[in-house]
Amino acid sequence: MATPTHEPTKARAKRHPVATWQGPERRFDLITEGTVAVAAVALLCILAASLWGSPDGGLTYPGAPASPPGQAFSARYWDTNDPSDLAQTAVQELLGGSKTAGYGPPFNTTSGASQEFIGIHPADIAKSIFGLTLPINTADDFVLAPVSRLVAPFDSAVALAVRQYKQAGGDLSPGASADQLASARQATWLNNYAKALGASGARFTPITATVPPGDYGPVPVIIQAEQRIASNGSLDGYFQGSDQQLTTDTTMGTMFFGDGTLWGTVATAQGVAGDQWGVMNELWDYPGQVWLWLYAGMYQIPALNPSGNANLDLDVGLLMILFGFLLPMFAPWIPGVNRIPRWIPLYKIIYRDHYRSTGDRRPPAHAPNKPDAEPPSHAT
Amino acid sequence: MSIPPPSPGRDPVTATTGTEPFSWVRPSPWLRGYLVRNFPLRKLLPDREPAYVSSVLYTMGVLTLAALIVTILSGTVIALGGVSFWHTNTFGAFMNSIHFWGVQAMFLFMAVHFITTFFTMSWRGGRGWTWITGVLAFIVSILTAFTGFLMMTNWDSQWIGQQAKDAFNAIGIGAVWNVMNAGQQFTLHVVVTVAVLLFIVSAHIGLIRRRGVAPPPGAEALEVPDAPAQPSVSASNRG
Ligand code: HEM
Repeated sequence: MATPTHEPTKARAKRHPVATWQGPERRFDLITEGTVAVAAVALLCILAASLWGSPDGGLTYPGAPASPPGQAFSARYWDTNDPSDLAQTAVQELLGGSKTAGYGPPFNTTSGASQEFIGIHPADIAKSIFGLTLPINTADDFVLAPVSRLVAPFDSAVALAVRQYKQAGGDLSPGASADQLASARQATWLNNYAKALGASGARFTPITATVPPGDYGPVPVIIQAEQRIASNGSLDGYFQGSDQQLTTDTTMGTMFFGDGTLWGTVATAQGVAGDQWGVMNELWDYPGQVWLWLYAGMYQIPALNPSGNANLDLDVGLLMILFGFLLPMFAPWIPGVNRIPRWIPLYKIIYRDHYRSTGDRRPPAHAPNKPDAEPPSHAT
Repeated sequence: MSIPPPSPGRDPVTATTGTEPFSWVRPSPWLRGYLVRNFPLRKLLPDREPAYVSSVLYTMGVLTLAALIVTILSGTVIALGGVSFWHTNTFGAFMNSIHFWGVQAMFLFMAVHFITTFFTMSWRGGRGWTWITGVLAFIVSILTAFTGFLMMTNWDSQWIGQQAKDAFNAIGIGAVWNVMNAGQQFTLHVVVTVAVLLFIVSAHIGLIRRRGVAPPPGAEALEVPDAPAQPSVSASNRG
């Protein structure tokens, strides 16, 4: 068997870039091979497409209504199917208690929210370079602005409620910090109302929320106005259209929906939640981004403490740069790693025919230069 | 500059010797020489290969490339129909299915290819850049698939975007790369990542054609660098 040692070709720097194999050859044709490969793979994909199709979203969870292919999550869907979740989420958006409100950059200036590694906060560094690129004020953007724009002009009770609410303070500037969104007075109303909505006696329809009387200020009127525009679809239109242009940016709606619970319920029912190795499977049994197994797997490592680690995403991101990028990239030059194929010599199986045919014969000592694989043709 | 007539030592088609010096103001002769020296057509379009290449493992690279081509063609149809027409149009849905399975096939072939080239140590003999461009192709393929999943305009893409934003924001790039902005993902998917991937794959395949596949470990001596340019260049570069 040939000794598996690589003798570096001398005079590397001067070596001609083109090398020619002097051992046994066989005929083939690159163009033919390529054409056959494309045709074969095309047939394979057409076959798979005919047999299995492909998943196209739709919203399902236990007890959900039938959903047409491609249906996206919308405020309308949310309010129709779980009005209590939407109403309670809207209250948290006003209060500054939602995930979005407490997110930090690039959405708002809530401090201490961005993830850190040895004292470095990449999100804060990005903010100091690019600014707050996607400012969201959850109280204004998700509730007060759409209600003022879509309902208040046609409903004096709502207009009054919005005016009263705003007179009670609160910071409605873009990207305001979570603890500034509601004043003490507003927070009292909101906390009282949140408790009432969460109590077992609360009753919901897509356009109403019924709770016992209490010190809620103008909040119930605003929340029910929010429910109305959610249930008739105009809140979705508001999120989709900006002031001047049409938009393909779905950030606003997505951030609002993600603050609720129905959002996660749908994901879990479809097997795509984070603790289900979500990114690797697409809906149901379809394969998804299987190639992200390393990434998805890192979220399951007990040593990273997935449930209690506030910097989990950053830790995983850094580990991915190390093991998903640098390690494979430089594998041929990392001592040890580049010996693995010698220790597990699968190449002896792959090249068994070659080794058998050459047997113990020493390879020809520096074969004479063979510039061409074929005899020169008479053309040219 | 008029191209001098072919003479011994020159490539008869391009009239280059392969030793032209580089010049900033007139780089064409050097580029001609570089291309002729590194990518002679007999290497780019071969009809012979080492006997050990007749293994199914050696078809994985070309199958990856074939799946990439099928995926690009089907994807072009979906994109031409408009981002979301395939939700309601059966032809579009079928093209989407082909696109979907093309991606799965591509990654499957690529995984086998990746593992094979690792265990054959195909970076040997000055093929380090082949390996590096391969890893880059893998990473850019992942980004391409990822942005594709983000522009499906259905629940699934909403969910993936809402989930992925956390990792992007944690490492800071979320400030400029907003995975919940479907329009931005569309441009990235159909223009940027695909263009970068095609560039990397072209370099990858060009490098392989230039050097040929790596010899089996122990048979390195059977691989012989071609002679320097003169004087036999006209024979070796017969295009
Ligand atoms: C879009 C993705 C890719 C395409 C289209 C592609 C295509 C090809 C083709 C057509 C070959 C020729 C011979 C063969 O099939 O073995 C090849 C060889 C090679 N590929 Fe890839 N490849 C891709 C990704 C990768 C990856 C992820 C790696 C691993 C890091 C890689 C490393 C290599 C190496 C080292 C060779 C040389 C093989 C040898 O000399 O025996 N490639 N590639």
